[in-house]
Amino acid sequence: MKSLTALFFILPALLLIVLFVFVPLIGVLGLSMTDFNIYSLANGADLHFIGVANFIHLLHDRAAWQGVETTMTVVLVGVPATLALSLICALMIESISARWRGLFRTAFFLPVVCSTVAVAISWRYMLNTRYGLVNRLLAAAHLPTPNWLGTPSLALLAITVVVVWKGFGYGMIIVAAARREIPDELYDIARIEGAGMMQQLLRITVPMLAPTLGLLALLDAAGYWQLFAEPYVLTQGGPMGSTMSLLLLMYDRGFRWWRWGVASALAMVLTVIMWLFAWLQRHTRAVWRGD
Amino acid sequence: MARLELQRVSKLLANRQVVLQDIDCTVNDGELISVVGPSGCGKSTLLRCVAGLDKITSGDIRIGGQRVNDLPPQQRNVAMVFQNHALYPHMTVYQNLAFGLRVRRVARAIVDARVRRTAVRLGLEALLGRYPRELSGGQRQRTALGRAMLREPGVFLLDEPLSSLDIPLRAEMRRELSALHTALGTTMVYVTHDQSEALSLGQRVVVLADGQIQQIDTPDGIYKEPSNRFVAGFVGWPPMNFLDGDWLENSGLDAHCIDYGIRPERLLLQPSSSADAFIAGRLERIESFGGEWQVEISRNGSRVIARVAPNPELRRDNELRLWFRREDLYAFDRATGRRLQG
Amino acid sequence: MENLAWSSAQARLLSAVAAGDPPDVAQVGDTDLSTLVTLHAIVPQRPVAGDFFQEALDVTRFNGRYYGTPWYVDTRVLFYLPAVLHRAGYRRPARTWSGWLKQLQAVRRILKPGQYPLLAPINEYEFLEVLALQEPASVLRDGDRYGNFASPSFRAALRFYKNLFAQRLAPRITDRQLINLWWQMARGDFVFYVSGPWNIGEFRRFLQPQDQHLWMTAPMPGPRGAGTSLIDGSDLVIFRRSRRQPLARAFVRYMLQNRQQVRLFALTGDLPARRGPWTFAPLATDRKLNAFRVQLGRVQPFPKIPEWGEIMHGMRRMAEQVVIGGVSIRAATDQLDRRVNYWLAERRALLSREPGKGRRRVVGKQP
Repeated sequence: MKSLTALFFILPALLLIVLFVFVPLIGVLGLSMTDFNIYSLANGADLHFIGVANFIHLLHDRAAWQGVETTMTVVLVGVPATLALSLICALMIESISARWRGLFRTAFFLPVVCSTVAVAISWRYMLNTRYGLVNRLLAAAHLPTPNWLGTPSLALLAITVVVVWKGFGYGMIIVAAARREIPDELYDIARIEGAGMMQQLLRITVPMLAPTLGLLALLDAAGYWQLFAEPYVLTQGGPMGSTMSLLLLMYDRGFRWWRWGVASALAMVLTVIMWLFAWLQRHTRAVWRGD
Repeated sequence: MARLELQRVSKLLANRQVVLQDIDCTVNDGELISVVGPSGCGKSTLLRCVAGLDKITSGDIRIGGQRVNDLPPQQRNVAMVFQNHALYPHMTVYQNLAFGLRVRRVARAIVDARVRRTAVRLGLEALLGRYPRELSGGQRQRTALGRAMLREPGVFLLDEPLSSLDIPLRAEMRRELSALHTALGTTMVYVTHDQSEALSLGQRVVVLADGQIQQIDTPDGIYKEPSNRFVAGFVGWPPMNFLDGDWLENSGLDAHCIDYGIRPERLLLQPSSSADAFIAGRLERIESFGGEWQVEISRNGSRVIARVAPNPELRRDNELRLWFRREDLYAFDRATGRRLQG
Repeated sequence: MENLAWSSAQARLLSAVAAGDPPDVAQVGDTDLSTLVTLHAIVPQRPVAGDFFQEALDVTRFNGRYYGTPWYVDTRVLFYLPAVLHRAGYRRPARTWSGWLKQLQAVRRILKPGQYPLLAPINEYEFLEVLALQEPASVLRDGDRYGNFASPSFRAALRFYKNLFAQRLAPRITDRQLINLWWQMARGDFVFYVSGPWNIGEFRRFLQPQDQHLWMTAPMPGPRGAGTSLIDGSDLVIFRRSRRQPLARAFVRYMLQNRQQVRLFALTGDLPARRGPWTFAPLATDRKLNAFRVQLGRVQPFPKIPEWGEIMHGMRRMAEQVVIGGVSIRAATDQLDRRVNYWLAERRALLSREPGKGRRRVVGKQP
């Protein structure tokens, strides 16, 4: 009886999940093993089961590997940068007077709640080579004014900056909350023992926040793997494919060129990577919590 | 080993609210002094001011003869133990004990030797690899004590170190602490809100209320000769009974402008001599504590508690007389609360 | 009627076709027409008039039948700043590449730092496509079965294109890096820009009336004389699934009347696909439209295959490699041909399939 009631409550959500997650997932898995393209749409006879050929194709696809490299770069540079910025800003807002705290907290958190597309468009203007704020400031300081979004390495850097800027506020709120959980006495003891600011940071604050930072690192990494809107708006994957993230590549292959077989294979690869993150998060939770 | 002197120490908050006012107190070298008072009386702040964690507004603090007002905490030659132990949860017992030495960059071999020596002394040697969450309350407290001991301070500052422990453990730890003090011979300031703990542990007791010292004396002195009505009512359990005019109408005492108080154990069921006086009221409640009973009588809504020997003849709702010797009465000025002698 | 955003229109329309629920009539781009023909989604129509621009009509012809009615046409011409060109010592834009190159160099000498003679966004392929169309040899060969980018004529076009950036006559930026094209051009940030008819309306919208004299249009220059340009545009198609075929045909005829074509231009700035409407004001009188009328007489349609969009995208990325990646023209065009050949594998297989026989599976490695 009890389990029946439970089922009754779970069922709607379960149905939705099955309908909108599992069914499409199986569909995509199926598609990824076919050569579905524009001709298949015209004539069903042109649709063939080709096994794992799409996946093998991806292994040899330079663009796919460049996508991996691009996305990995954003993850490997962006995640530590986000964590560092989250940590620094969290400690900053926790140490300043309450009067200013609200202002800074709002300012730092604002990018998180802003629409990604709107944020990206604003950055597009800020990074404009001739009229953008960034280059105007650089010019005022007599520094070189690079062509941010037109140079491969700089474009990826700019994308990473935007992504970090957009994301660190969320981590900051979480880290600030975790910081408030650290008892003041731990710092009192450290002061009595003669630990300076730096020692307090490295011996107390950072280790005490490690579980939170670890969790955030996973969440950020999972989020950055799905990089899409920023390059879509800022660079459309260019220049020279330097900002073509895996998701953007999938979008191009599927929605622009109707190569659904390959696009689905790419989607499956991304799904597996996301599963990996979910699994990591589940199995490291105990470690982060310190249990 | 150090003497701790506080001279006219005051602390005001930014909003001019007084937390400590004109604290004058000297703790002798090697003495264990308890500071007791209701919560919010400023006793923890006092300790933090001595440690240098909080700044004082005026007055002087001397430790070992040296004025420390402007010294940072680490130069004040003090160690502190907190109510919540304040152990670092991400460090093992060993790392917690070694923390201060590591911060001061003492050589690894020396750290190791000293940590192990202290661990043996506190019975922690088997627990060195454990994390605080794997320890019992007592073990955590011993670790916190050990960390303070490794500092080899002139003055130990203990802020309610036992109040997070359960009651049987608290008694055991109290004995251990007492033994430790005897063995170390270090000056200790022990802050507590529990008056029985203060009396049993302290060689002298400071009673603090509203940021002011009410009395400094030995435990016996505090109990027997409270200097004012607050101390009298705060120290002792059950608290001293205060008798208003109604109770004393047939005792011939002058209750005008004077409050009389009597301790519950000084009220008797039988007169001990013909000079004794009595108070009378309806017996409201009898509570048995095995070897003794606590009885409560009431009169016109005011109550008096007595500790008496068990007596099966007592019946609830009967009229009961409680006898006392006139010299056991304490007299307090009603306006100031000050104790009136003789 | 349903309005669709141009960028997502193809995806929406194809989805409707795939779902078996298309509209009666739709306006589709030339590029997408071949896709719909491949899908057998639309029916052939007889031309409703005799005065279409020939190339526009040709675009709709598949296997000798016309599958769409050209509605408006679109070509690319030069937008430029006459005053700046005069200051550099020239009366009007040159007709040849070499002459134009000299003009660009002359203009560069009188510009301020940060300003460029030419805007050629590296993520737009149309300019390079126009350059590639100058020579008769197509960028595809053997009936659009293989890439032909390694041909001498395309390499010459690419060399000309690369040179524009190498000599710093054009900035290496994308259209995403523009703030406001029209405002920037009026300030003199760019003196030449290759673009289509919609920009006539945009220039008039974004610039003040007193600034309208700042810009002008001219036909494209060519390698040896007047240049050819691409022709693109939009056609009205009737879907096979429509149950109101006569009505749909009547609607198409109505939309192609002179009056309606002139109104379409007045409303949207889209150029009529028939010559008839061009004899009416304002089409006949607007000086800035003259370049388009002239250019429409010299256009070259592009191959009508569904892969064209992807091939042009590939060409653009290859051009990026040459312009900012320092890859040699020879290596870049060879590689592009390999990639195009891979993309066209399916098409080759379809064309070579004999009736009743199964098709060889096409699974190759992308070069």
